[in-house]
Amino acid sequence: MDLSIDIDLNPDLKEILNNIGESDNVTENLTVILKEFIFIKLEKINKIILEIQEENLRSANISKELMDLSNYPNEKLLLIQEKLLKTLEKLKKFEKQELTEEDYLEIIENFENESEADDIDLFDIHNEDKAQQYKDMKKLESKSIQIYNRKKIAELTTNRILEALNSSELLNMKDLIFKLKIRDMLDARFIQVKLKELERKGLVESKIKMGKKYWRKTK
Amino acid sequence: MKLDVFLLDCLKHLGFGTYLEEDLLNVLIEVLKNRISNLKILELKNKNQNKKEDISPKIKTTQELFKNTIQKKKEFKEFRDKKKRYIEQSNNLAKIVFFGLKIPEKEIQEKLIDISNSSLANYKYNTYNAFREKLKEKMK
Repeated sequence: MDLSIDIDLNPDLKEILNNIGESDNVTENLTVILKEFIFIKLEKINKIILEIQEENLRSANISKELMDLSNYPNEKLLLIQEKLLKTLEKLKKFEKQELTEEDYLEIIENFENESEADDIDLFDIHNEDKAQQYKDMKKLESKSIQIYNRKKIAELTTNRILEALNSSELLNMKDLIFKLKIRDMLDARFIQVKLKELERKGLVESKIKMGKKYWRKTK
Repeated sequence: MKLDVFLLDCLKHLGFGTYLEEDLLNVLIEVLKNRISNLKILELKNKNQNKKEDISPKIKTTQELFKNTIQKKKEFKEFRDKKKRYIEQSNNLAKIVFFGLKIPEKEIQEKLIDISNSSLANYKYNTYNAFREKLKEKMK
């Protein structure tokens, strides 16, 4: 069964195609180019997957609970990889003229199905910028997890404030901020309120020296 | 020129899946880019190993091909934008005429789209939809 279709290809394009493929037969040239293209894409995808895996391992050390490792590397990338490998296999078969009628029927079905091409957006990896964006997105994700962890460390509880205070030494606001590793001014304000509350409860005592307020734990 | 359905299908799945020329151009650009970088690496290696083989003319021809391909892609994009603009304009015009003369909107739209298409008749572009129709006819 002849399953070739007549195409009115732009003559310039035909010339470029023949120059790249170095043969007179357009079909032969296109097969070679498509194979080369798939190899390039596979190499890129493998690189991205490896990089993501490495990044995940690094961020997984920070917090294992927060990371769902089963989601990484992205399923979509793996699907694209699988699809490319399948196409490569078929291209090899096509070159050897081993494509069966069943294969062709499958191809025609896929060809008629419009949504098939939209299923997996292969242009995600066509475009290097997009691949870079994807990597940046992943980096941002891991960064946000780190920031979340840091915030978790800086969580202010009564116990932490009491631990930071000493019963013998008097500490002012600056010392406390330094000891509790506070970066946000709102947190500093929160400590002031908390100290007032603790003072009322009798857990902390305060003294004013040279116009500055100092605190220490009650003995 | 005849092309196997299998190759068309491959192109469709490796590209955007709308225009054959665009997908083909993208594939060609990628392959040429890769070839140029590979040739440059080879040239450096040859220099380091003091080999006499000169690859620079090969690099030049590939670079020229690359430039041509990118130029073609630009032309293709321009044509697509032009076509889009023509259709939009004709649609707007159709609406104006429809309100003014009370002629059925559909009729005017069809006529105007025909005019816009004929003015762009010099350009040729292949959509996969057209091939699908051809294929369906063949399967009958």
